[in-house]
Amino acid sequence: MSVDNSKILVRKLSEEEFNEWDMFVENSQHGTVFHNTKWLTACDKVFPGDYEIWGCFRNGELVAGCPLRIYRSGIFKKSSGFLRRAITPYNGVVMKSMPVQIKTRRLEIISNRVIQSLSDAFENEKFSYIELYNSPTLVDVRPFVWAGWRSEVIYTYYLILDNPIREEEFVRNVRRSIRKATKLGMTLERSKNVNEYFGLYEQVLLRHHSRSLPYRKVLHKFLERIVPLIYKERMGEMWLLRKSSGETVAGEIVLFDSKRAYFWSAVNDPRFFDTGAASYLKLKLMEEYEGRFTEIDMIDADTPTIAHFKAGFNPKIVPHYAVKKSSTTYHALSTIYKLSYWNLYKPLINACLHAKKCFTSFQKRRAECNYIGAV
Amino acid sequence: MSVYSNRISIRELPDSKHDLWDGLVQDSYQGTVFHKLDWLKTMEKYTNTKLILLIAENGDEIFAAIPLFLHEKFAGLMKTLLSPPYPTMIPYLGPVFIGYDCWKENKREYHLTCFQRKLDEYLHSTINPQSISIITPPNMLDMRPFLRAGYEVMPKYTYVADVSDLKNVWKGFKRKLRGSIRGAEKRGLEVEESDSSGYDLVIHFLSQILRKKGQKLDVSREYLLEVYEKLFPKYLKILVCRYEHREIGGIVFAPYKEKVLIWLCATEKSLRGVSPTDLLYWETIKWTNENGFRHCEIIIAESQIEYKSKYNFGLTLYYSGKKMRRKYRLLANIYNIFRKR
Repeated sequence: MSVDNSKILVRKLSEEEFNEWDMFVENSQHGTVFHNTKWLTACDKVFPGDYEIWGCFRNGELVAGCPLRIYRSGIFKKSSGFLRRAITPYNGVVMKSMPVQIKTRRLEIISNRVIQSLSDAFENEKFSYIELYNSPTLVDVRPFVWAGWRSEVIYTYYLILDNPIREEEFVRNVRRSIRKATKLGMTLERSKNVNEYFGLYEQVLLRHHSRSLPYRKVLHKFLERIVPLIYKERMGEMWLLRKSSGETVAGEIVLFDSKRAYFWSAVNDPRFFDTGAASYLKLKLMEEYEGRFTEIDMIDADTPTIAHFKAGFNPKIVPHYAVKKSSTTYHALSTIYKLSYWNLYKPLINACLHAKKCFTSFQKRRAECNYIGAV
Repeated sequence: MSVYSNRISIRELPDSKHDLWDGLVQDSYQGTVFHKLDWLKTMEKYTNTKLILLIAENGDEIFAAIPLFLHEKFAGLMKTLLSPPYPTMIPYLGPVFIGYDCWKENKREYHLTCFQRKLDEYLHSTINPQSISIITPPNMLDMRPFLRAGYEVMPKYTYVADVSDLKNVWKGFKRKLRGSIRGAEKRGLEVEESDSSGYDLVIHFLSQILRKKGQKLDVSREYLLEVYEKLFPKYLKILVCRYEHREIGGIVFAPYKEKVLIWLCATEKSLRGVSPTDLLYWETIKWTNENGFRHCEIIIAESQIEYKSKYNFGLTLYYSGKKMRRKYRLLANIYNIFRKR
């Protein structure tokens, strides 16, 4: 279970150590609200799989760690984030913060050792597939690559909160939308009404994420659990934007830790798209958090339409890195699957569809001939 | 977005207008010394490729440029586009954008996306390559257009430091390194600027080091000499280290824009207790500072990192993007399996 590599001991943390982990995450530059055990426990209660936290200890001191959500898919033992990146955008390695005067070289040595030890421990645990989405502050993923992992670049946006917010930096469309919404006299309020939020959420699912529809009930259950929790633990707030008539037009769940705020989930009523509510909500939230935080992570800059909307606020593009590793058997089988899907299954389906089309047109023509013959 | 994308076009820069190229590179945010026309033409000559200089225009205004090298195999059946080509000892090349640092985020994304789409369209309709490999220069973080177009993107690293405060840079060095530099100075090692003789020496030592490892210098000597001829003295500088009236090592670096890039360094290995390499690196950093350059780069943070990280330079990212047609990817994978065996 535990692996000793250059005096670094890797083991799973017990529940009694979770408080220590939370403190560690809070103090680490790589730690985010998504690494917090309260968040992870809430996810664990709703989504399938179990989560574990693997800690790296040096001379008994916790120096790094990584939360894993472990589940079975057929014969394979896998680990990835809850609903991939949708629920936990960052689930990667968290390392102890080092004083500023610590040199690059020393940091490189430490991160190399820690990652190598973790990688060895995961190897011993015999995962078929494992993927980690590291937070943007973990820039150096070379140790993962050297340990045989594949790296992948993904993006997020950081809104840098100037005081006061400079609206002239926003693109023209966003400024226009904000003006429009302001004229409509919309009001922003903190809320705990999950059903109201989920009502809007369902419409978003119907419009854009039809593949997530089967998870509707689970997501509702998750929101019911998470909203009271974020208020109780002071790790976030839910906001609703209302028209002067009282109708809810948009909403946002904002999470935060000691470093920044996160625009984790946003919903909009499609009937009010032309009111500029979405842009207005973002501006109001920026104003709300400008004194408390220096930056807001807008989460997900990869989906083109969403990224296009977010880019209107002139945020900073920030890359972060996913690392993945699969066992030889899993890799071979998934390659065979992919190859057969693209080279056998897809062409076969296309051929069947083509044959069906030909047969239908042939039948049509025969019916026409019969008809002409009969006439 | 589609309203304006008709204004954006990509075309090849005609031979008659090649003199515009260096100006574009100079004005761009990402341009490096490797993008200079002289260096590109030398690469073309020694890598059995054809240089294609492409520019992207928004209306009449040029906003991006990319040098690509066409490599044809099997009588033109297998076409590959490379930027940079190999072997050239160049870590990155790729596209450069003019005004990139002044654009707002959404304008930047718009230009990047249009550039990538038009580039793919242009290449598909003209060359129709089986594979494309682009390694971007640092300062180009956003690779999403390439990811969306099916490129496989990998992060790469290089070491860069701001050397405007030499005291700070010195303090950042590993203690052993500081000791080694002081020791080298005490032992009477001297560093001075050199010319072709110093350059020859570096090539000689490089070949010698590789030969000892059972390897060969993968670029031709002629290529290296031509790079020198075309870029020395303005864009290529050489420092050599002397010990007891004997030249024992040298370093080649390229000052360009605000940055000095350490390109080649080789020294005699038989010396004991003295490290001319450490002294040469330190003298290059000092040269950078004294000549008004702000940054110094030690290229490629994926090899010899034990050595390079001693200087405590920060990590800077750049990306490698590769795209290959599915059938060729399969063939390439099979070929690689057999080649490894």
